[in-house]
Amino acid sequence: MSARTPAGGPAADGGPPPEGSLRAHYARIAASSEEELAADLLALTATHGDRDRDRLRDWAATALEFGREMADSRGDAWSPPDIEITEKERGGVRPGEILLAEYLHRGARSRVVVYDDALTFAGRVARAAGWSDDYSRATVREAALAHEEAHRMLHGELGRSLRRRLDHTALRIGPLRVRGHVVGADEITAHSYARHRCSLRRSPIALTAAIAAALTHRGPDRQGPGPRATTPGVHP
Amino acid sequence: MTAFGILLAMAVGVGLMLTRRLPTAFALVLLSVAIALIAGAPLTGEEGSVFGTVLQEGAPRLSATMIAILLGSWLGTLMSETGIATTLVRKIVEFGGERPSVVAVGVFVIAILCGSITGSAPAAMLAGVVGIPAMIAVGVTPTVAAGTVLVGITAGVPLELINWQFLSDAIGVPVSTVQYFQLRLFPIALVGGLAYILIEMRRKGARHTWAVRVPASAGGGGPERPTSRRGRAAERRRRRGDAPWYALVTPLVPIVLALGFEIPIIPSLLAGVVYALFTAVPWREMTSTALRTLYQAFDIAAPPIVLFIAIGMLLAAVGLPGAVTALSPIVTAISPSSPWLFVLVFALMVPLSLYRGPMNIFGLGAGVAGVLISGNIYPAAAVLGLMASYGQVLGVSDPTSTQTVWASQYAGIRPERSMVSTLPYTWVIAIGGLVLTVFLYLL
Repeated sequence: MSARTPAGGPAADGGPPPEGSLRAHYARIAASSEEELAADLLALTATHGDRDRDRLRDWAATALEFGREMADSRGDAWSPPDIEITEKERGGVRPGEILLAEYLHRGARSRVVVYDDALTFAGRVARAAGWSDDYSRATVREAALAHEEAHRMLHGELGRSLRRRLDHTALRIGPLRVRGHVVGADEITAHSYARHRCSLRRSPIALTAAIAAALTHRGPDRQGPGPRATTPGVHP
Repeated sequence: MTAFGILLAMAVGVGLMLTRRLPTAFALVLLSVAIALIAGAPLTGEEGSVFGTVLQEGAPRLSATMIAILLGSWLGTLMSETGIATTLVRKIVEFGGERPSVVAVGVFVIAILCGSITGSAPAAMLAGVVGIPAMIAVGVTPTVAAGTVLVGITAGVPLELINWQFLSDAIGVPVSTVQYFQLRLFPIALVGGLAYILIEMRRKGARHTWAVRVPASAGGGGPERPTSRRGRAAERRRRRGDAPWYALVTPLVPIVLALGFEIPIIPSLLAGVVYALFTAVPWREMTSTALRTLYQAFDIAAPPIVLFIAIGMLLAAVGLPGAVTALSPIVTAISPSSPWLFVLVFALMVPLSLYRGPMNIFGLGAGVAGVLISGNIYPAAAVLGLMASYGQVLGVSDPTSTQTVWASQYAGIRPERSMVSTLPYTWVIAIGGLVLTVFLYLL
């Protein structure tokens, strides 16, 4: 097999993975609920660094449910979004970062860019984690397109609905209450939308966590400024 | 011949700094000694000597600035430790919501406040540690996110008390003169910064990604006991939660006291420290927090203090009678005499303030300013205007400035990309500053 497997793949002797090994990380991710993984993702956001875990779990559950409802409301079978899609062979695998897809919104002109090299990387991670059946390269691509489609949908009224559903109080003065934006909730929603829209068995959040584990295992960002918080937005 | 030798030494100094063969501070000390020797200064003696005038008297020349830097760093550390800066940014993001432009303008305002307290990378970190990832998360492109923090902290520089003290010490004008000019430069920097954010947001649009970056803490998983200083500080913040609303005005305390009540710079900064301690730290932890953050502030303040020791020596060297006599004819000949030529020529020379170039006031530019003043080429206040205008460029766009390097890399882009993105705007701001200088001091 010529494909490069991320370091720390399955142990040669088939024994239990050493604590802290990449394989152990994959196993932990596979065993975690989507809600817990989504809460982990929110916790990594700079603005939520000191939030209560239960609060994060509540927000994660709400955002996941919202994404599922968005997908269910479409009714029709999955098809690529009606938007300009650009495929790029390279540019998705960067030092310390894997960029699978991006949605660029500029006035009336919007487009989605999908990075082939990053999709290939994600496919390898899925294989190393033992999730080949869940995440072929084509499946990751579909999930990426659906993810960006969700971002596009969240730009309008749906974004405000999500904000209302999360019901986070940013300011309260007597009877006056101002709802606050929950950073990262849209990412969770987009992942949930992609999962249900593409009928995926395993959440894209799990794949995202597995890629993060693989990146961490590969070593620090050689080009970057040192460790930095992963955030939804730059992050899944 | 003496002038040629001094200019050659300056060129070598710039080369050493540009190629990073020597840290800027060390290069400036060597340059100071070289200039003094070329200008014919004796090694020892009470008047005009290398040891006595350049090294002994030059080193503490900017001492008031150094104390101000230490206090500003202390206040900045307290704002970070107590969560004041984080709370401000978080509130902005929560209110701004899904509108990236609103969030960016909000972070810009916070960055101005941070830049008015402390400078350089610590100011960028105060606003950017949470602000940059938060902006990116709501759809601001990484380049604009980094640029927003940079134009913000530099727009705050005209309100920064440390900067007033530095320019006053380095150029030899009263603090009130610096304050007078900087308060008029501030609206120009403010409008320029806003223009950067709004135009670039429109040009680049919003961006959402499915991307994964190396997490901050390798290992992941369950809660771990923080071992680093930063980890412990984060743990303390977690226990305390958001800073109370009345603590959020901390960044305004020094500037209000200095401007509204004409209280000198050091007491104003001290008042800010005391206010932060009383409003954002539990009573039982107050003394330990005060001492711990003060010691941390020494770490943060060390690099600029070392630089200011070296700049003091350089100013002493270019002020030696031999150097003034040698350089004045040359500088007079090449300096534009007409006010509008002043704007044109120095506008074209803006790039010389980048890459630690000769017009960087935090390097050889201090020496150039010294020559312009000691040679009576321009009034000291006009030199102040010139250097403050250049400061707006190098504070944002210089890819070798620590704040630019930090903010760019933290956003995941190269510092040179930040320079390309911001330079058109900071250049215009600098031209605005030069025009202001002409109107105030040269007409």
